[in-house]
Amino acid sequence: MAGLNVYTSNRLEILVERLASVVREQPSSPLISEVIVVQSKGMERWLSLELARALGIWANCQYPFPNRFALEIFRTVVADVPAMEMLDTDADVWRIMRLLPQYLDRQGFEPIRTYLGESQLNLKRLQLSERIADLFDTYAVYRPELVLSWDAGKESHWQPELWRALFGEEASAHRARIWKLALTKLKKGDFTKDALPGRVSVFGIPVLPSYHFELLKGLAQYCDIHLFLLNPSREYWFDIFPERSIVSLQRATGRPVSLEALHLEEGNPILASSGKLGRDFFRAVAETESEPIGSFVEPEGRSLLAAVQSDILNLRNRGANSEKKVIESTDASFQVHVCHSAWREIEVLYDNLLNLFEVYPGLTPKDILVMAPNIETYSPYVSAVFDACQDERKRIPYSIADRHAPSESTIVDVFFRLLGLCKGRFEASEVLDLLDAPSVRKRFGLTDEDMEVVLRWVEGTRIRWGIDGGHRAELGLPPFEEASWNAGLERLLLGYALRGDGETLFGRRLPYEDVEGDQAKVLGRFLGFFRQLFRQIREMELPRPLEAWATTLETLVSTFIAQDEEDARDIQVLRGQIRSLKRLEGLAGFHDAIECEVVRYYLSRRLAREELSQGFLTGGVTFCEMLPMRSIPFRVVAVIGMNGDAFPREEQPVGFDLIAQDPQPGDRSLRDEDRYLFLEALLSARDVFYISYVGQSIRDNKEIPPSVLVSELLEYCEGGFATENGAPVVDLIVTKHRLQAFSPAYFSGDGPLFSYSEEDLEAARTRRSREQQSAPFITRPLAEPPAEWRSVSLADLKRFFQNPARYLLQQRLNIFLAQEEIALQGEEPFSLDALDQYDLGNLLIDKALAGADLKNYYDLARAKGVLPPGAPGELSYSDLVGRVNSFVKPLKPHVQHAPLDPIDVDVEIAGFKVTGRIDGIWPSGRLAFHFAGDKAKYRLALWVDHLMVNLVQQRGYPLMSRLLTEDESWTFGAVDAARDILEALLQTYWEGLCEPLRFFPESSLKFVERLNKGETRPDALLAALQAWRGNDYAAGEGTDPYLSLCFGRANPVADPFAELALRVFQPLLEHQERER
Amino acid sequence: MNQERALLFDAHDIPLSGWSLIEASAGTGKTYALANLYVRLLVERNLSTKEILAVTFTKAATDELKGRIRSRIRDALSAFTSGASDDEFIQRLVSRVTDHEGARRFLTDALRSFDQAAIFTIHGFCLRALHRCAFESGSLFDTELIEDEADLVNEMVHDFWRITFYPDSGQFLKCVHKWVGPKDLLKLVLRCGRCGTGWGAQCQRREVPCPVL
Repeated sequence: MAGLNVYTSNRLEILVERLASVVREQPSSPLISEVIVVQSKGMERWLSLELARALGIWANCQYPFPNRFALEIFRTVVADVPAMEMLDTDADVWRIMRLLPQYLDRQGFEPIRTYLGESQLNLKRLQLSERIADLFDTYAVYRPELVLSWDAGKESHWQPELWRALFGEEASAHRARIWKLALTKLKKGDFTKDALPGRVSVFGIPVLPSYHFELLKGLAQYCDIHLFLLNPSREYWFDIFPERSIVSLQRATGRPVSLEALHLEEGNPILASSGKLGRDFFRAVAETESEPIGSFVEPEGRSLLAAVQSDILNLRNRGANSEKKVIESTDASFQVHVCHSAWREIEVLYDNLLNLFEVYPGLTPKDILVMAPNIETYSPYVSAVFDACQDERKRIPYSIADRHAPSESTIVDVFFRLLGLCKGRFEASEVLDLLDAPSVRKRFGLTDEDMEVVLRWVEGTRIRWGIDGGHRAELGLPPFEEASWNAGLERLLLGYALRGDGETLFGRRLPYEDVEGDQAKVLGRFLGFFRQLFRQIREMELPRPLEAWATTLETLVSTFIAQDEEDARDIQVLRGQIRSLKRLEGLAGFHDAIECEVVRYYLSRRLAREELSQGFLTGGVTFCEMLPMRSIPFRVVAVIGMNGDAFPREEQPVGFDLIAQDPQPGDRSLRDEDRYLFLEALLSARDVFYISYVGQSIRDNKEIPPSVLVSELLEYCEGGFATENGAPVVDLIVTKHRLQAFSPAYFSGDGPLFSYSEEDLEAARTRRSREQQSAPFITRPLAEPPAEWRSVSLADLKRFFQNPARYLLQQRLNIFLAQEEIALQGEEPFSLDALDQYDLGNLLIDKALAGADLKNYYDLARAKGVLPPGAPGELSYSDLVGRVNSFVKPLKPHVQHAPLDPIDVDVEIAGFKVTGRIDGIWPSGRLAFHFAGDKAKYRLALWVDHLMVNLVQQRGYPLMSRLLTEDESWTFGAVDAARDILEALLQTYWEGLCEPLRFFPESSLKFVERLNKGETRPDALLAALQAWRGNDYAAGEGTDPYLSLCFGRANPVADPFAELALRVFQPLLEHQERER
Repeated sequence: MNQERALLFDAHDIPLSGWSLIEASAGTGKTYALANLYVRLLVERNLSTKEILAVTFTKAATDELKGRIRSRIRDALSAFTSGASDDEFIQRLVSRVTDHEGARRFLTDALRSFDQAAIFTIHGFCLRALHRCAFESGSLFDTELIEDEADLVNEMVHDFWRITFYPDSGQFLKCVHKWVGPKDLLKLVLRCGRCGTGWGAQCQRREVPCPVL
């Protein structure tokens, strides 16, 4: 029984029952496939589950998309249909790519010539070809008559000319031509009918272009066609606009009125605003002879959502022509949540889902669908929030559908990062990030620990960017070698092969000293990676044809990406796209050499369309993109990201789009699709329709309007509904959220805000208690250390006084605060940095004191990689040499004689035993020098040595000491009471082993100096506090991580700061004298 | 503007063609006036939202403008439906316009197509123009707006430094290097503010030399 049968309903569940009964009444042979045309994988999955439920068993069914279905029909009806791939727009892109240059000089092609311009960039040509190919494909489906007339030679601007060039060739055909042929054959009936499917169902597609619809109508002569359509309203709503009102409107306004401008004046405003897409299609269906079989049901329940759905079903405008309906104050069926960011939207969603599980009995995660206009924006937040829950009772299982290859797959990401290096600068951080990707690291056999070594090497050899001088020259820069990969890697190799002394150069390279013997393997693998990387990436700089690119890129993938079991699918998809390049070259006959960036652009566009995971209806909450044909019913439907500028989306047509220039009913329009989609989402929610959007500024809480569709829906509710207590109904629907999940408002127990998060509760509590008081890090003293701590080395004693809090935390509590991580610098040094200046300066001072000519060490400094390249480096070096010379000048007289032997110390003082060795003693006294500005800690360290020398009073050894820094020099005279002073210091040491002492060398010294100058105690304390805090130019002492941990929240100069400062520094100041 | 004479602004009388410069202090109701003019354009000129461009500086101001204009259209629509309003401007508009049904139709249409309203920041409008007219203006189809061009400017300044001073004899640098380094040049460039986003994007593609350097 052939014919077209149309079934409509406002509920997809009813349509499935209809479909099931069609199958049940006329079961086909089990060996013949059932054909159901759908428009999404999600629908396919839902449908097979539902049919299995209805029929007990469901198998051997095909679910082609409309285009695929059309092609199969063509193949049956028209004998010589070209292979699928010939109809592939991918090949058309490259065919157009080949044709464009040949046609450029022809008449009518001026716009193309202008666009491509002088440069004739291949990338531009490809982007243009891509747009043209897409457009031609759209023409074939939406304007078949137009392109058929082009085939017949009509029109002569560039589009028809190019069209004829593209499809005039023997082998090629296009969809419109085959379509026309198929329709003719279907009408005449001169084809083998055996291969036609016995029954075709079209399910849940809200709109079919007439291209497909005509084909179905043609087919209906030979087989059963069943159309199952979701119709929002049971009323005849799609042809309400009578002709005369158009005319009268035109007369009244004096200008032509497009169909677009006309809207349903009667009926339901939501349907009128969002229903355009469906309206056009239902009108087309109504024009066929078949009478639709409608079965509509009233939405159940008394909720707000059910009432709104019922209004649409019955084409009712509640606000205008009926009384307001009163909604229960507990109604949760329609919710709008106004947040500050996408992240907050997900956090809010999580809490609200937990609440819904409580409120709606029997609700499970699989009953929930969450849609976003762009799921890629939300998926990281979804994972972050939904995976963070540690409590099994509150964990919500979920899956994310519609994610695309580049953002989901680390393999694809690594691949594009590799391509991204081509013609780039090879910055240390981007190269190491690449190597650090698990699949790459695995391929080269490097572990986590190995990567730390590698990072240290790269930093230590000062590798910043650029392969070598030649590479830099190609980038149009001076060909300097410093800070390049080549320079650094050679230093590493030398360091392994020829152990150096830190000064001897080989060639112009200084062996890097930090390569241990057992790290040879790591070094080998690391070098292997770079050899391959440089060779292959540099190779890719040369343009080549598509097929050659396929070979190159396949090698790239197999060289750099580990072929892991779990990544197998990703790699397969990637390789599939790479291999298709080979095929495309043949298909399109495009043999030009193209650049790396062109291939990269092309592949990124293709891969962006690849969906790697299904993620739809997996048993958890389904997150997906707002795509058309997603009208599957769920108990809870949430649409997130309903921001004013995000939805409905609007396509930007290219300037030469003939469809956009002359729109007709039935054309595709992203905006209309989105509007209809919103309507479908509203209708497919059974219990709750949930909306959220970013509606408050994250900076100042300023209101941001939502999507126009949300505003319209809210306004409809406002006009048609009221609450029991007379409060505006919008207040019941809309919840304004706080900026932070741990705002106390969520835990107050009243108002609409609530939270299920114990962590956030803890955070809210902590914040409150923090505001009230701040507890110190160590609240009470530790127990005294064991007696062996009374034996102390001189070095430890000195280390203690540099920073007592650090000494305590490290030595007694084993707390080592993380050093700042190595951050790779992006550029070579533009000046000599402070630490390098200090190190290099000290080296040069040694050399100068030994009488060497400092000019000879320029090459060494350069090979260390600390100098800026070129002239700036020479200048930095000569500046430094100047500084070193003036530093050495006053130093020299003191060291012209040989130094005395070191003094070995082993003394008992007040129950302490102090041991150690003091060197750096010359006939003129103990001498310390620092090639830096004056600092309290230098004086303090020397002071301890000085006291010890004075205590032991070794015969023939002078009792004075001298400190030289770049801006000050100090001498300490003989000390009579050395033992008493040392005893006081040791006592301080002992106290500092039990609790952090308020002794900070710089701040404490500042305090004592000011007191000695006659300042009042408060003034002196203020000066100390300034030294602790620092200023715009220099960081204060308080930024030290140990000090800030112990005293950051307390007053650092509270007692016993003053007493300690005086105890340590007063004797020192009394014995010091400024030289010069 | 042929006449330099300043007129007292009245949202009702101001002509809807030609140029008008409306000058007022903060908080005196410029946005309000703009929303009123928007409604007049809809009702009196029968323009659609697509045909009225409103441009302002910041994203926040754009959002506010959108919200204000939309609620103004709603006010006007309900006044044209009920025939009366307590708002002075709208009441005058209702009594002046004779075709109430036409007004209602165009206001309804404006509300339903408000997502297409051309209310933008300056950057947003330029980007849209570039996208819409990529073919006509010869730019790539996937041109993107770079929010922060600091990295590009940085790289250009550093390259300038490298090219200028690395191969140099150092004579000139010797005199100035105590005061001038890449950081200072960068400050200079940023202070000049001439390296706008548009140039930044093109410089990156190495199609056009940066006008600053």
